Amino acid sequence: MEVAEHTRERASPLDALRDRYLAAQLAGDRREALRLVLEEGLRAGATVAELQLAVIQEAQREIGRLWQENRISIAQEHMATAISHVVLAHLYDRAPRADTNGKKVLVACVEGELHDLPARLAADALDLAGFEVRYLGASVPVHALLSMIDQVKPDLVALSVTMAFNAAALREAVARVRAHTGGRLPIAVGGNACRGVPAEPGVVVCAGDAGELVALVERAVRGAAA
Amino acid sequence: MEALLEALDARGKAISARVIREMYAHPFWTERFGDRGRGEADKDGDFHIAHLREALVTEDEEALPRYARWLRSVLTARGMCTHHLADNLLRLGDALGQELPDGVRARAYLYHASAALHYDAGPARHLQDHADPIVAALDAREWPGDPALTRETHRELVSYLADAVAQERPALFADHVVWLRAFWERRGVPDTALDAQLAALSAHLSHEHAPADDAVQAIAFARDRLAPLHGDQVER
Repeated sequence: MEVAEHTRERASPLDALRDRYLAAQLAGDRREALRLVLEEGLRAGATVAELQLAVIQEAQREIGRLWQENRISIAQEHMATAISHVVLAHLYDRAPRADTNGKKVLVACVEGELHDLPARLAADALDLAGFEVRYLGASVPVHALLSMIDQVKPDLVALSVTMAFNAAALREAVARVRAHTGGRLPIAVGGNACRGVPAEPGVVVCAGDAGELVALVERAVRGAAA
Repeated sequence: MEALLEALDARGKAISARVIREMYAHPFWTERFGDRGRGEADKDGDFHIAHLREALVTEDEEALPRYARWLRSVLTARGMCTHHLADNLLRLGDALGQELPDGVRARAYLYHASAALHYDAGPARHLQDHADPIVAALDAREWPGDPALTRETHRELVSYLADAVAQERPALFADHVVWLRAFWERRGVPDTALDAQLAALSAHLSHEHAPADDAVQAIAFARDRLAPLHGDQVER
């Protein structure tokens, strides 16, 4: 399977691990993918965040490019992504967790958004940073989101949107959450399609990775508590 | 704007589906892509409307061009050419412009997206910019078989060639050429007609549109793919 030249140009150990992880994904070899990340990656001293972002997330970007260019099928893309979900779950289990900070965060993909790996990464990062996370996954209807807010009483809601045509669903979710909570519940927005979303009072927009999201959420929660 | 958005919500998908239906009236589409392709085309039509709506609401004039360029990369990897998508967007723009209140706004966005499918400067852009005279030069020649049939594919040939050059994937052109030969054969066009067209296209580009090395090489690659199908009938 041809891998983009740009993924071969750099020679760092994580780049090499990423390429081997990608090969395991495309071969459907879940055990090898796990071994590479959990044994080789962690044993070599890579942090969980590095493995999540520089190996798994970058491999997923390459998976997306390969599908776009019709070099892999949609079934192969789903298989590869399913392997990443399994590996992330195992990484999460091995990762050191910061002391709980007593704050609850609800993480969800907006209604219609099926790309849930970015939200999964965000949920894991927030959890490992000490937040109590309720992760709702892909395409959460707004009414269900509001119901969970009433049930869980989070300190912040984080919404993920990847596809540009779901931006309207994001705006709807933000408006409904603000109306439902009187504007008092901070909202964080992240994902590829959030870049065009203007920040408004009570809404923070994260165009960066999971690490940046954690910092933004920490600030937003502190600000709301002040 | 509100009237346009309401009408787009109410009728946009149906109009898009009709535009697809009109395109699929030509046998190329069903024979090339089948029922599954038709289903995907309808889904893409829905996505056109969704992205258009988002662009109108956010007044982001570059949203549709970004979408169109991304979709082009997906579709050209799956057997279509830029001209197909560009034409589809123009047709959709015309239909919405005529049928929706304040539809000219929607048409402007879709026309802009279609125009954004021009490649950046380079050999592929050159082919796109000179498609009209290239097509006219091919149209002016006599071809064996049904001239109407052979002429209508000239614009697509140039577009497939531009895509192959832009993406450095000569197979994008060659795969289409191999398929086209069989399509014509089913309609009684002699199997040497296509190679003759490719030879003429190559000669025209070499003489009239230098530098054209990438395009000429892509044509040569396609002719080599045709050669085993012809046996020894193809002359170089």
